[in-house]
Amino acid sequence: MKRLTGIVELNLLVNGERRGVYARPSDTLLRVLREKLDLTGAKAGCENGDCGACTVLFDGLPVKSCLLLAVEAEGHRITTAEGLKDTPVQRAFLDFNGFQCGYCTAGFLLNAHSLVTAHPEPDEETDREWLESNLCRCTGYEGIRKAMSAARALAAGEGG
Amino acid sequence: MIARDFDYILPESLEEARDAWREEKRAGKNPAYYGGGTEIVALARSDAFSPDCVIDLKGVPECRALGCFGGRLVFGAACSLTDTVERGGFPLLSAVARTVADKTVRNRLSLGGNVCGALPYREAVLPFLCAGGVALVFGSEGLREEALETAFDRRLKLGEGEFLVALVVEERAASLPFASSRKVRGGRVDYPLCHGAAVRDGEMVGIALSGVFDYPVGLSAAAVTPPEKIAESLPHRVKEDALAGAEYRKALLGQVLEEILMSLEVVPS
Repeated sequence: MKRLTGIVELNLLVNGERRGVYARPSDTLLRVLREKLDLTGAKAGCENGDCGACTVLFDGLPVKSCLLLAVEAEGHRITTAEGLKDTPVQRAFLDFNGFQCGYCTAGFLLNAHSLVTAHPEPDEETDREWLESNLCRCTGYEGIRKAMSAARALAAGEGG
Repeated sequence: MIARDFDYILPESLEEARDAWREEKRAGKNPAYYGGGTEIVALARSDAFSPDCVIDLKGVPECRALGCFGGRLVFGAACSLTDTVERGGFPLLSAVARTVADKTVRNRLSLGGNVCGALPYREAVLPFLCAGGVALVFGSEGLREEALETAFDRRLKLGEGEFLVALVVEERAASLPFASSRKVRGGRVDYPLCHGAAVRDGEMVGIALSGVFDYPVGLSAAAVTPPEKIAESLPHRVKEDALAGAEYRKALLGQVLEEILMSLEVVPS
């Protein structure tokens, strides 16, 4: 049985790199990523699980890092927006203006990346179900929707 | 950030989890069983809940069980709602659980957390309530099994230090014709004003409701009466809050019952 108390050393696998970090068991993954690892892609929005600005991938699945303890991330693959460099979803969001102020963008990128990977074929209901996890306060949903479609097409092209 | 410190315990067996709780209580501490953590972390951040330690049930294999064992479908309490939706083999649970919170939250939110948490809706219990589900609970007497019909009264009845291991339903009951309907105030990601789930077994219909009252309620066998009569003779006080008034909720309940009974091709007598 594992018991963590006080300040503990965590060994996290983030964006394919092993990162050692000291944290409290009560620290959220969001805070550890931003404040200890300087990975500021994940944004602190509501910090209540509502807005999705803090979304990261946990073994490939989108999760809200404000609702996750950093200690729970040990032994799992974490991907942040910084880990999406040169991916189809990054290119598509640039090409199709899938952002306005940009605060929500990292969350949308990660969710869209996971969605395109898990569901290469477009399905309106599935896309809606996944993307309703993220809020864009600028209401730039049309650009995001177009970028999503483009990302899927790009990914399919690369795969084929 | 969460201002207060707490310890994190990851037990590897049912006994370790229970004993960790006991030891914390003996030391005068305030432990909390922990599943997906979505509610505990949110409450701890706002200082509405301050555990001294969390005992993470995801380390216990029985709490992560998901599958068919001896003709019964077992859903471990620490399984995420996404897993129960996508891999559970219980279509009504898939339909109901996929409306809870949003997809990204459901990737962490556990079945046990939804059913035993502080929020009053506990929608994931509805399919088990109306399909004759059973709760597996671990505590001082070891593992015990109790039908939800008696184990769930407004909330799952747990003794001091007990925790939910799994919810179970007969494979046959899980494959019965089913229907559900959920009414919310605005967008899909919202708390339910009225959420009904039902299964039909021959002439019997079991219905369970969330959002209408201050807690989930099962209305087994009452469903064969006309929806307006059910709505007139409700066994509990209809909820009234900032989201909706009682009369509006009652009207939605009538709609939900009508939709469910129509979908199940039940002719009220």
